[in-house]
Order: sequence, then C-alpha cells, then structure tokens
Amino acid sequence: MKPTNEKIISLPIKDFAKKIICDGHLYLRSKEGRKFYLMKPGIMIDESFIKKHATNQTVFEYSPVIDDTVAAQFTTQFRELKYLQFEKDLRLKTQDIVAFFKGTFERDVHFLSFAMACYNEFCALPSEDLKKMHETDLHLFRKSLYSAAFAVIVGFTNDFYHYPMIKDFYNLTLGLDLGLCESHYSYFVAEACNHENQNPGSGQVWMRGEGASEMELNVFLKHPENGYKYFQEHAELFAYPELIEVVLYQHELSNGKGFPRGIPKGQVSSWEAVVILASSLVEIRDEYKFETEVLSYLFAFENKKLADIPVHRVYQKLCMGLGDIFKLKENAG
Amino acid sequence: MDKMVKNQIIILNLTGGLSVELSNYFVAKNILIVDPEVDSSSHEWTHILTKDMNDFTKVSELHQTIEKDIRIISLTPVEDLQHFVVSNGKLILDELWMRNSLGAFILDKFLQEFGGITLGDNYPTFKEKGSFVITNPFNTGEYLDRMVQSAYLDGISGLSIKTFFDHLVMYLTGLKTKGKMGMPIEVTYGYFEDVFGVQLHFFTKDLILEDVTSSLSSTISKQAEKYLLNIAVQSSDFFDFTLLREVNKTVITGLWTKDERIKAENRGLLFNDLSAAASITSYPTEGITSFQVNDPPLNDFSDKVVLPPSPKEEEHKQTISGGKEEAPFVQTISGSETEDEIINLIKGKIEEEEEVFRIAGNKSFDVEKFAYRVSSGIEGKTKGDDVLKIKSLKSDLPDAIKNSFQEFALKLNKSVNDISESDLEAFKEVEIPRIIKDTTKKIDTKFNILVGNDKNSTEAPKDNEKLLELKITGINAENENLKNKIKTLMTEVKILKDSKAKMAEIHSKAVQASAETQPTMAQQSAAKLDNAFKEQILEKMNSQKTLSEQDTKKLAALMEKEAKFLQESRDHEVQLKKLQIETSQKETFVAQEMEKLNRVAKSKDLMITKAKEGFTKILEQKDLEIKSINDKLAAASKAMANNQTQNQAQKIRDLEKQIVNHEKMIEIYKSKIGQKPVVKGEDDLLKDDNKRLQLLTNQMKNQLEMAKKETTKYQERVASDAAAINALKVDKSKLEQQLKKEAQDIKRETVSNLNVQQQEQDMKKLKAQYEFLEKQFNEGQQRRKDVELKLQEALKGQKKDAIVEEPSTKGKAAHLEANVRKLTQDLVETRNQMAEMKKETNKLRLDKTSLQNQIDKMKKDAEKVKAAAPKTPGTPGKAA
Repeated sequence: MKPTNEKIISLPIKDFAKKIICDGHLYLRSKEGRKFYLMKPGIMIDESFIKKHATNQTVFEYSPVIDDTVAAQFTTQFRELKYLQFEKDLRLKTQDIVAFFKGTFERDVHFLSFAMACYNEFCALPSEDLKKMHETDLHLFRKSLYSAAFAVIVGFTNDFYHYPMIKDFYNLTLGLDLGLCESHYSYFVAEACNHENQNPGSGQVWMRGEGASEMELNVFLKHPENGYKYFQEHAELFAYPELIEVVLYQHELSNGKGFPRGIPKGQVSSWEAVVILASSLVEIRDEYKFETEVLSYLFAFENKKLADIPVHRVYQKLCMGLGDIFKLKENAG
Repeated sequence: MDKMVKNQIIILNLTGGLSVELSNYFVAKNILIVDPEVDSSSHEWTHILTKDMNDFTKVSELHQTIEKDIRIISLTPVEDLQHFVVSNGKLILDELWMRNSLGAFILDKFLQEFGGITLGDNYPTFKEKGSFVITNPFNTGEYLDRMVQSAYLDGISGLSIKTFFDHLVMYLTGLKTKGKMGMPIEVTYGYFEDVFGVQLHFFTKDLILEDVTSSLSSTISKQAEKYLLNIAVQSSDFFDFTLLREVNKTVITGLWTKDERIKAENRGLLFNDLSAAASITSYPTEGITSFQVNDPPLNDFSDKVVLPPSPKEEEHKQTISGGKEEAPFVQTISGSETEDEIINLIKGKIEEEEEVFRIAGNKSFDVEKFAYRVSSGIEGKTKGDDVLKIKSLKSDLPDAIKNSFQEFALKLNKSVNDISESDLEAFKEVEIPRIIKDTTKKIDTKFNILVGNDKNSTEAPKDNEKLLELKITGINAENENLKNKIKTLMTEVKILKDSKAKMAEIHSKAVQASAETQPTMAQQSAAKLDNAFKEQILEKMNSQKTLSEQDTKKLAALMEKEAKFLQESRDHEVQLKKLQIETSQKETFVAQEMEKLNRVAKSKDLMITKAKEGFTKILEQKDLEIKSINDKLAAASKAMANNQTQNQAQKIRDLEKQIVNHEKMIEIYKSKIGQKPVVKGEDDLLKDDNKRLQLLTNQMKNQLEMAKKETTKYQERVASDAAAINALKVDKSKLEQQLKKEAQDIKRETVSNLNVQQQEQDMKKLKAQYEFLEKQFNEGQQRRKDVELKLQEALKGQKKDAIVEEPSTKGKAAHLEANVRKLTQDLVETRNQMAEMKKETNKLRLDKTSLQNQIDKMKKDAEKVKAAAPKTPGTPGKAA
C-alpha cells in the first residue's frame, strides 16, 4: 500500500542498482512533470530494468518504506540467536525477538522491515531460482517473501528456537511455490491458489469452473510434489533435510481431502503447520493490508479458514506468543 | 470412541478364560473370539490372545504369525520382550487395565488401528500440561526437569518418567545416527483422570522391526544402545509405539497411572504399525501450552526419591496393616541414632479399628527383647488390639530397668502409654537410683565373692587397697554405663511423648475431619440407646448364652446402621479430600496466573529498561562522537600551527628511524653470521655453499671487470670526444679568424653574397659537427647510466646474496666477509671512477655549452653580416 504521507527523495539509478529488493515506492517524473509509479516494495529489482535506466542515467523519485533501524535491530537479534547454545538462552532470546516484533508492529512500522531482515539473514535459495519465480510472477515472489517472514515469527512462537531450524522454515516457505513456476503457470493458477487460501479446498473447483486447461490444472495440483522434488535436489541448503517433506503438506486439509496425499489433521505436526500457516497468511495479491498493521491482521485471521487447515494449534500459539488475544480464538475450529 | 471396527476381527483365545470386563468388551464390539477348547472351528485369525506364555516360538510357527500378520496379544507380562516382538507380539495388556477407563480405549486404538500425533488424538481428553520441541537431543535438561516436576505435582513418580524419557531420547538419537529418524521431536505431556501421559512424535523413514528389537534386550550390559528401549518400556506403566507409515512419522506414548494394582502387577505394551491411520477428532485436547509463556519455578522434590531399604533394614521391617487397602497415613519423625537420630515411622489409619503404630529406631536393637505394649486406642480399645511398638536402645539394657518401667506402670495402675510426665519424672528420680543402688550392691557382692574379699579375710591391707581401687573403677564404669542408659531411656521417653503428641494431633485432625459427620442430638441419644442395648445384649450373652430372635434382629439393624454410618463417614472424608485437592489445584492455578501476570509485567519492565538502555547508549555514542570530533578539530588546528616545524621534525625523525633500522639490520645480520652454529657432518653442504659463493664472487668480479672495461671504453670515448672538441675548438678559432677577416673585408668592401653563402655552409658544417658531438655525448651519458645501473644491480645482488646466504661455518663467514670487503672496495673504486667520469662529463658539458654559445654568437654575427650586406638583385654571387 502506498503511504499517504510519503517522504520523497531523489535516487539516482546507480544508488538504486545497489538494492536487490525494492524497499520503497519508486516513481519516475517525466519532462512534462507527470509522475509515473514504477515499482512497489517487496519487488525484486530486475537487471534489465537497471540496464535500461543506466543508459539514461535516470534519477528516480523514491519513497522508502522500511525502517532501517528496525531491520538492523532484527538482524542483530537473529545474529545473537545464531551464536547461542543453551536451550534456555535460546528460549529467552526468542522471547526477546517475539517481544520486539510485537512492540515494533504495534507502531506503524512496515512489515517489509522484518521481511528484509529475514531475507538478508536467512535466505539460502539460489538467486537464479528466485529470479525464476520473480519472472514467473512478481507478485508470487512478493507473496513468498512475506510468507517466509511470517514463517519465522510463527516458528519462534511455536517453541522452535534453533537458528538453523528457523532458517530451514524460512527457505521452505520462500521456495514453497517454486513448484508453480512452470511453463503453464497462468492467471488461473495464481487465482486458484488465492481461492484455495480464502476457502481451502475450493481452488481446483474454481479452476474447472473457469475453464482452465488441464495443463494449468496440472501445474496447480502437482506443485507441492514439484516443489518437493526441487528441494530434494537442493537438500544441501538445509540443516534438517528431513523437513523438506513439509512442502508436501501445504495444501492438506483438516478433513483429509487436501492434495496431494489427503492427510488428516491428526497427523500434521507443528513444524508442518508452521509452514502451512505462514503460507496461508499471504495471498498472491497486488496490495497487502497487513504491511502496515501486521498484528491486527494476524489476530483477525479468519476462523473458518483455521478450521479447514490443520494449523489451529500453531495459530493459537502464535497468538499466545504475541499477546493474550488467543483466548478469544480458542474456540476457533 | 465408538468408532466402528474396519475389518472383521477374529481372535484365537489361548488364555483359557477371560475376565468379565474383557468378555463384555469383545461382545460390545462384536468381535468374534474363539476358544479352541470349546469351539474347534478354524478361522482366518487376525489376533491370538495369550496368557502366562513366555515362549512364543510354537505359537508363531503353528499359526505363522509373521507370515500371516497375526498379532499376538498377551494378557500377562512377558519375560523376553525382544522375543515377543519378533514373534509378532503387538500388545501386552493386563486385564486389570479393563477396570480402568483407559483399558477399553487402548484396545480400541489397537484393534481399530487409529492414532494421531497429538496426545489428544491418541488418548481421550488428555489435558495438556506442557509441550516442547527437541532439536538437540543432548540439550533437553530443562524441559525434562519441568516435565518431571509436573508429574510429581500430579502425584506420579517423576523418576520413572525421567528414566523413560532419557533412555527413549537416546534410543531416538541412535535411530537418527542410523539415518532413520529426523529432528525435531515434538513432546507433549498431560494427564487424564489418574493417568499421566508423555507423547513424542518425530519423522522416521524406513523403520523396520529390527530397529526396535535390537534395543529391547533385557540384559544390562556396557552397550546401553542394546537395552535403551527396554528400559524406556520398563519405566512406564503402558508403552505405545505407533508407526504412521503413510506420513513417515512415529508416535511413542508412555502412560503412568496412580492405580496401585496396575503399578504393582502389570505393565502394558503396544507396538502398532499403521499404514493408513485415521485420527479421532472427537477427543479434543484440553488447553494448550507454550514454554515461552509458561515458565513456572522449579521445586525440589528430592524427598520423593526414596531408595529401597538395605537388607538389614528389611529384616527389621514388619508390615503392619492399618486396615483395608487405602492410602496409608504416613508420618515421619526425625531423630538421631543414639539419642536424637532415631527415625520413627508411624503408619496407621485414623478411622480404622485396628490402629497400629510402629516406631522404628536403632538398627541393632532387638525389638522382641524390648517391646512395650501400650494401649493407644483413640476411643479406648481393648488391650492388644492397638499396639505401639517402641524400637530403641541396644540389647544390653539390664533387665532390671526393662522390667522396672513396666512394674512402675503397674504400680500406678496405668498402662505404659498412659504414664504422665510427672510419673516419668518420679520414675527418673526415685526408681532409677534405687535400681542402680540394687545393681551396685549385687555387683559388690559378686565382686567380693570373686576376689575372696570376705570380712573374715586376713590378707595384707595393701592388697585390699588395690582390690578396692579396682572395685571402685569397676563401679564407676558401671555407673557411667548406667548413666548413659538412663539418658537413652529418657530419650526414649521423650520420643514416646512426641509420638503421643503426634497421635493427639492425628486424633484432633480425625475429629476435625469427621466434624461434618458428627451425629446430631437425636443420633447421639440413639447412640446412647445403642450402647445401652449393646450392654444388654452382652449381659444376656453372658447370662443366657443365646439371643432371642427380636434381639438378633435388633442387633442386625444396629450393625447395619453402624455400617451405614461408617460408609457415610468415609464418603464424607473422600469428599473432603476431593475438596482439598480442588482447593490446592485452584491455588496452584491462581499462583500460575499471578506468575504469568508478573512475568508480563516483568517483560514490559524489561522492554522499557532495554529501550532506556538503548537510548542511553545512543546518547553516549553521540557524546563520544562529538568529543572525538572536537579532539580532531583541536589536533587539526595544532597541526596547522606547527605544520612546517613538525614536517621537518618528522622527516628528521623518519631519517633517524631509518638509520637506526639499518644499523639494527646490520647488527642482526652480523650476529646471524657470527652465531650460526657449526654443524658437523655437513661438509658437502659447505662445499656446495663455497662453490656457490665462489661462483657468485666470480660473477661479481666479471661484472666489475665488465664495468671497468665499460668505464675504460667510456673514458676512451670521452677522450675522443675531447679530441673532437679540441678539433672543433681549433676549427672554431680558425672560423673566428676567418670571421674576423671577413668582417674586415665587409667593412672594407661590400660583401658579396657568395661569402655569406660560404658562411652559411660553414655554419651548417659546424652545426652538423655539433649535433654529432651532442649525439656522442648523449650516448656516452647513456652508457654511463647503464654502467651505473649494472653496478647498482651487482651491488644489490651482492647484498641480497649476503642476506640470503647463511654460511654455516665461521671460516665460511670470514671468507664471505673478505669477499664482501673486496667487493665493497671494488665498488668504492668504481664509484670513484664514476665520480671522476661525472666530473669529466660536466666539464665536457660546460665546454659544449660554451661552444653552443659561440655557435650562437657566430650565427648572430652571420645574420648581422647578412643583414648589413646590400642586396643587389641579379648580381651573381661570389664563389666561396
């Protein structure tokens, strides 16, 4: 979402080229004085875009959204966690991070501050694969960036304190939709994912109703397995390669009618639910309401949706970690 | 829970007979169970039920249990778990479990093959008390402590849970090493009614039966890996190992119950391999926990860990029944072994008819020799029913004292238990000295008889004195002994009094507890009537020996009434206990809530403090920055003021430093050369070194010679150049003369163009000569530079070699030094020559300059002449 009281600064292309992910709103003013909106926060900065503007030595108008101090503080906290050994120290540090998260996002701090800190600290996926995702759909990349950041905070609040495990959660969530980045990815596939998110189990039905092709359906239905294959090929990226199986759970439902395996709720572990919940929290959208009001967004997560996906317990613990509001949600599902 | 059985279950019953509960269960679940002794029909068995069987080989072979996947259920514990599991043994469940609410559920779970990964899915309505995640199996201490704490608070033996968990986690670590298990392990623990459960679930891959059986050995050996799982199984009351193949997960559950029967008689075991498990959603988990949120303090439960008694203690221990099977009332009184260290254990029940109190004390004391029967009934029981045993003092206490206390009590017409404090004082003041006196008298007499010291004796008085001394010593010793024994007796009496006090306390508690059940006035009057009736009956019995029908009926009614009253009082007591438990639970809950709130407040405080600290740090940083900037400014201004002098001083300092460094280097090299030790047996190396040095010296010499030759050549050239310059000078003088002549001619007559041309040609010639000379001069300069460079290189090489080479002998070093000196001399000579050459060159340069000036002058003159000569066009020029 574009801020109402944005602070615009001039940003020459050479400075903008230093960024990997756009952390603000980017504008270009024409000779006539008209202002064009070029890029939104959370979008990967394309090489061709840089080349194009480098020749013209463009100077953009830029409105940064992230709070550098907050991002740096999160990074420091992650680093501190990384070098702790004992369980109690890890737990206390995690508590600190969760408390800091809560304190930070009670103010109007942009969620990208946290997402960028997480990306810089935990991202281990090859940049080519991320580019591939970005090229497939830049909103898909943006969704992955945000949901991966959610995986970190969900993991912390669910008693996962170990840095390598959190890092694995991050990368699994970030690359969860890499299975979608096939040649037949289309608007239908993206929308099916959104429908699946809004009303779990409805994605396939919606695609058929809209007349999506079999190939598109195939991309949608096979993407957990494709993602699983991808991660198996890149198992060296993970501290706990056995966690790769988590990818197969992303579209499982509480009633056992999810895909690809139809696993009932009682057999979904908390580590799987962390990734499922994080993925469910973000849709493939152009704009996100939660960017500036994360906490209220998390607490207002729809009950019906929670009943359908096997993440109720993990969600409760998330709310518990972020405040006492979980009590209101206790009967959800 | 009433989930329908998926496939037809047909069980072969080899037990001979089933309990009512179990039979009812099978009937209710519509499970066909066939007893071969009754029904000889054959079926496709799905399960075999056994009892008191330890060798399953025959059953396994006969029914092909493994091939046909017929699962064996044992209703009694098996000796060799490994063998049982290998024979496709899947469940051990005592029939007593069926009296517990969990029994039917365990059977449901096993026969219907369902299971989930959460405790609530696996076992009904379990209330979660805590959960945690293990990522590092060697970093679980705190979680385990908290779990054990929780178990103790629920009245479950935390020690068993600790043993179970430790061994299980290590077993899982072994599986991880085998690559068959993956982290994390999620642990949940909670309780349901009187059952405490711990559940672990984790990722497993390709787990086979051998992975389980290999760690089930019942032999304890150095290789803990072989029996880890067995210890875990044996530590729990029920052990459930369920493999969920479809999702590559394994769930292990341990259950502990407060039910004494199950604890004492049986343990259960369940191995389930579920391929397509269904979960139960009708048993939701009550509550949810997080270690991040709940962080209660840890209490010390050391007193809950009681080691079994040593064999000696076991010998003296007597089981004293305190009534029927109910929770015993245990009270411990601490004391010392001889005086204070006497531990008294009073065990009994308040409301029971037969109250027995046992005071255990000195280990070596013979209870049978010194045991007092004391009436201790709360409501005045008949003698002998209530027994208070005092176990104390050693067996050497004189019979006189032992018996005197009883006699004393009899004298007072009281039982030992009823003896008051004043009576005890009287016993101490009057009876004990009398006993001692009597005893001394007896010893005296015995002594006299022994030594023959009669009154009529006529032996020497000296011997008598000695004997008397001996006697006194003996008496004193005896006195000391007696005093000690009195002390012990007093302690004993003290303990007795303490015991009485405790009993009174117990009694008061009992009275308090039964306050609610106090009979009303009517009941009291009825009780009075009952007592009167009782007396009547007793009288009748004494007199007539028989009872009338009416009396019998009345007696029966009375007994029924009493039984009812007793039952009511028990019910009330149970209710009271429940209330007490509820109150304590509520208190705990309130305390937890308070703690939680405190924690929240603390965390907020912490955040504020941290924020404050952060700001303070930032401010401090800023201050430091400002300070450093100020310092920099001051330094810069100072530097500006003293720039020049500083620069010079700096340069001087640098130069001095360089000089010092060079001097140091020279010293180091010198010392290196001097200190190098002589190593015998390295002649070859030395020779090589010498050769190399000689070669180097030769090379240097050659270079020097070359340089000399070059210098000579250069000198020759310089000489030739000088000759040329002389020739030029001669030419110049000639030309000057010519110029003079011509100038005169010009003055005298008009100068013709031919002369000018001639002059021009001369000028050209001179210029060419000059250029040639200049070229030669430059070449000479270049050569000189080359020679200089070569010399420098040679010098460098010499220096380098001097550094690199590390001669290993003093002789070699001296030789080298000589070489260096020679080379240095050569170098100095060469340098001198070079300096001379430079001087020569400078001279030549000066000459050249003067020559150039002359040429210029001549040119100017020539131009002047040209300019002065009248230009007559068409006039032919004169030939030169």
